[in-house]
Amino acid sequence: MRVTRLLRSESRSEKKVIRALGPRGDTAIEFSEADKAALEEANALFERLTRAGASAFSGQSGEPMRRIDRLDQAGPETILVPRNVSG
Amino acid sequence: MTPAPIGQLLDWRLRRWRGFADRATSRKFDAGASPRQRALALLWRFLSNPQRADLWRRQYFDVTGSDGHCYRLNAATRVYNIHDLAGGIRYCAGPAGVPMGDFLLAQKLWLEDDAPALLWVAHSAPADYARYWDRELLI
Repeated sequence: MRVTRLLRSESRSEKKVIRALGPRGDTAIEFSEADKAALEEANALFERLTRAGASAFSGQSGEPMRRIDRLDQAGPETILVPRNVSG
Repeated sequence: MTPAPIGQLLDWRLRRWRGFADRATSRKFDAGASPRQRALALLWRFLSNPQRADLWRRQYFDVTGSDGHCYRLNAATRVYNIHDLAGGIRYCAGPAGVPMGDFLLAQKLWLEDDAPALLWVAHSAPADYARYWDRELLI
């Protein structure tokens, strides 16, 4: 029972999430190395939005996030921010 | 019609933020939340406790930029809402067309990681103009 719990918590920690900020709030995709379909979906979203000028920041909530260029550099949480414009 | 006393207006603002803070920490929040509420909940998760307290009580929070400056992000407006406290200059820049919470989160992430890059695209206003906005926004 205890082993199962440990395994579960480990697999949960491998899960990553990518959030794209947009007009309707954020769109989130959960992915992991094991889940190929979700990983491809997350990669496609990352590529599409960064090509359109978005920037990706990765890290963990509560800690400073750093900018990344590739999804394989991503930490537990990645946020895709649309291009900045001056007001 | 007599205008509402300033105390009543501030109480209303405070109640609104308190209600939001309660809802944002509940598990049912995401299910029926609007984009605006979800954006504020996401911002809430990325703020430290002092920043949350400032946002809750005063509708702004302070961020230490990558350049060492302290920037105050005003949540009451998108216009010139980045205030460089050291220089007394206001800046206006951020992603277009996103809810307010996401707008502030984007500004926070950029300032912490690469403040000059964000301020390079920003419009800036001189100190006198900033004081004018301070009076207008009652902060």
